Amino acid sequence: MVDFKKYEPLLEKVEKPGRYVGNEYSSEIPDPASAEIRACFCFPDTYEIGMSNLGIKILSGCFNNSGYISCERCYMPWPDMKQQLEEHGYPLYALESGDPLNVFDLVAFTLQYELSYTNVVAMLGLGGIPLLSKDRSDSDPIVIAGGPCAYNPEPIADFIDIFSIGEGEEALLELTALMRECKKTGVGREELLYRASQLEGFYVPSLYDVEYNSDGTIKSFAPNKEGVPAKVKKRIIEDLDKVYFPCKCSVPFLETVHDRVMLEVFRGCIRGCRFCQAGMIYRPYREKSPDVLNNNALEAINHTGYSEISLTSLSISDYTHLRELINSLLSWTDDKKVNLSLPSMRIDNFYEELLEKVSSVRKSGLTFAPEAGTQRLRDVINKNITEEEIITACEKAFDGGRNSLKLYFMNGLPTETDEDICGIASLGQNIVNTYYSKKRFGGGRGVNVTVSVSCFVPKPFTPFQWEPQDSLEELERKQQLLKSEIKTKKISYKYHDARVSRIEAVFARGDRRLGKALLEAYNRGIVLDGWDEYFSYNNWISVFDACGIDPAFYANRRFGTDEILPWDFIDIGVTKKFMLKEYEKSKMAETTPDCRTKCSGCGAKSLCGGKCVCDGGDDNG
Amino acid sequence: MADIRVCFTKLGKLKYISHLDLQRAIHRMLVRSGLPIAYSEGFNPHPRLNIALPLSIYQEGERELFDFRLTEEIPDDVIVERLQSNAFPGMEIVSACVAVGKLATQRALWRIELETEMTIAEFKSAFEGEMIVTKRSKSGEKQVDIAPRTTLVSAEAVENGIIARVELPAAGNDYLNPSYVVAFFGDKVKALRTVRENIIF
Repeated sequence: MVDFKKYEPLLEKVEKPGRYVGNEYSSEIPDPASAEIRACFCFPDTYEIGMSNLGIKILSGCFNNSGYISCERCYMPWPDMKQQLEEHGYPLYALESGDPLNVFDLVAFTLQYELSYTNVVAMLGLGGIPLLSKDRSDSDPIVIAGGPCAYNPEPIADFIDIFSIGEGEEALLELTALMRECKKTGVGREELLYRASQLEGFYVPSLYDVEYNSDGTIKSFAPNKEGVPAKVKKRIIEDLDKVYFPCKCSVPFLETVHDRVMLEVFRGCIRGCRFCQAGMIYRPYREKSPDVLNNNALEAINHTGYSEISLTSLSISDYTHLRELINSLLSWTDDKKVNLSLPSMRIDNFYEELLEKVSSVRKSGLTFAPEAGTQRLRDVINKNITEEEIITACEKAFDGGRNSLKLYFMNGLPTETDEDICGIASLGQNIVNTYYSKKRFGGGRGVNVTVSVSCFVPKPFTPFQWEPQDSLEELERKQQLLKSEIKTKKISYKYHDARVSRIEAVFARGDRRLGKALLEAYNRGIVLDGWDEYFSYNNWISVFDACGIDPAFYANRRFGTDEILPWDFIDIGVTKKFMLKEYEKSKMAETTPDCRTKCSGCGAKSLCGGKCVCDGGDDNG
Repeated sequence: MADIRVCFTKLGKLKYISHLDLQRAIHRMLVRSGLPIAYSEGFNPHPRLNIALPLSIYQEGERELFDFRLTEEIPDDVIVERLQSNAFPGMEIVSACVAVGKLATQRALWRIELETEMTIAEFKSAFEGEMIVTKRSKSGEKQVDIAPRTTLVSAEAVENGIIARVELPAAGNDYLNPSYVVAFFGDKVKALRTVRENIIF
């Protein structure tokens, strides 16, 4: 371990030095000196974002409870600290020991967002680890990655030794057990990577070769070594009640993005919105029982001293035992001055009286996601909500004393027309009118409806994975069209930078050839693309030009349904056949009911012995 | 119920934590302690807490003070024990007792550990004349003589430097940050550590 004092001169020259020193309450880890495996969890964005990630808390907790692993943390330094490290010639270090990343046995990245890939590469470089997997030797760490973006690992495959596909609580400990065994018996990197490919849920890119057709599409994708599986199956945890939950997590000093207890209520989603990757990759739907959740929450609050619990799952109001859970939580949260927040309520089953209850300590904002402005387009994306339901929900919220609402939409959705865009404005207007249809006591301020519109990005493992993204010009035209359609000051209109969404689309559906672009971006010092102040569209276009890459090939092309997709070798349980069926239905604006109403035969229940939310339902897939 | 006055340290890596962040961390420590703490009224209730004086980032403290309120009477040693077992690294609970009077601070005693080639005599004599520094505020920069408000308590020669103790005003309407004393010496010194040793009422 290094003497942390050597970093003091650097820390005196940067903003928010608290980002780089660890030392938080309850952040102790097993002694690195006596651990058999030293691991470092790396979050490729700032401390404030990384410390908010529940996945890392869970997985580093699993590691540190294993009895033989000591797991530290590292975040992407802000440019001022990056510069200090470079000027002093110090590699990027882990917060607990201050040791550089390259002394660890295992360096693990979570991939939450395509635009953080440049940070992954930068952290490897700053940490003194050879950037490319092929350049690493036995003395270098094993670099692994997981998380939602790992479902299409190809764009960043050159830089990662092993990808973990799916939920990691059990899988990662199988990998570390393998590493421990290899370390004891003197087995080197190459053999270790081969053995890792034999474990379920692990993808070792170096053991697969890709060939391309003359039109740039994939000709073949296959293992290059005997015994390496052609398909990599995602891992899931069958019984969430038995899986580790980080009640004793650390408490940051700095204000983080999610500075509260995060209670994961279920995994998966019974909905099936056709644009939503999370709704597909996290299937099958599995719930935790309310008793376990209540106990977890109480223990976490007592341990951390936090004043808020957030129920974090994809569509919280779909939880079967929501009332029971909230009632048990409320039996003690008021006394402890703890606030509950339910960030993802669906419009069609939202209960104002429930919200009244949960906001008895502090009243928080209310957000709905109609996603599209017309019924036709909502049917195309399978949102399964009607305008009447939206208006009723807003009315209930207004009746409950609220006078500000936030609505999420997307533009650039498949089949979208100008009429659909104008529909967003008229839906907003109808909501405003609903507020004024009754005499209300809003303190004289009237109503405020925030309409926030993001750009559609086609994602792997969704029914829209074959669809092109609208061109940049078209996305921007639609943004301006909507702006001109909104006639009232009661609506605040916000929209995302379409140029950011385009780069996101390139990497979301990218293949291995994008590795060259990431390397070029690294050489040009491109980092922190997720931050407005550092994102530069022109830089990216220039990088693609220099690498002979056409961004439109990935972002704006309609992929053939008979084409080999870069991510086809990953088996998420949900079948390609199901995705195709949904794609075809979308073109006819035909909806598919949620899993509880009727099983749509997506295939995910094969992952847990046929048990699913639709258990007993009709599997007609 | 009575306010409890707690004396604590803010040492080591805690020097990188801002006053606002420290305040939030103490809130959470109070909650974790399980002591019957009093909350503020209103929209966003939080434990009643009053920290005597902020410390700038990069500064440490050996006898810092905060007041909080209990809703029941609890023995001092129990308070110390409960707070200490829920404190974070760098915060030691020195003592706790029923608060006497308001947290109306007057002056503070600082220890500044300097790397310098100056002799003790040179260093001491600097405090005898005017000490003009540039003070920045919202209304712009101005030249201020800090000598009248600065008392050099002691200066001790150590290897490669000097350890100085200075007493400076630390009242609500008159606060002098020791960084001005360091700034006065310019390139001749480098502050390695700035520690508030004591707060004087």
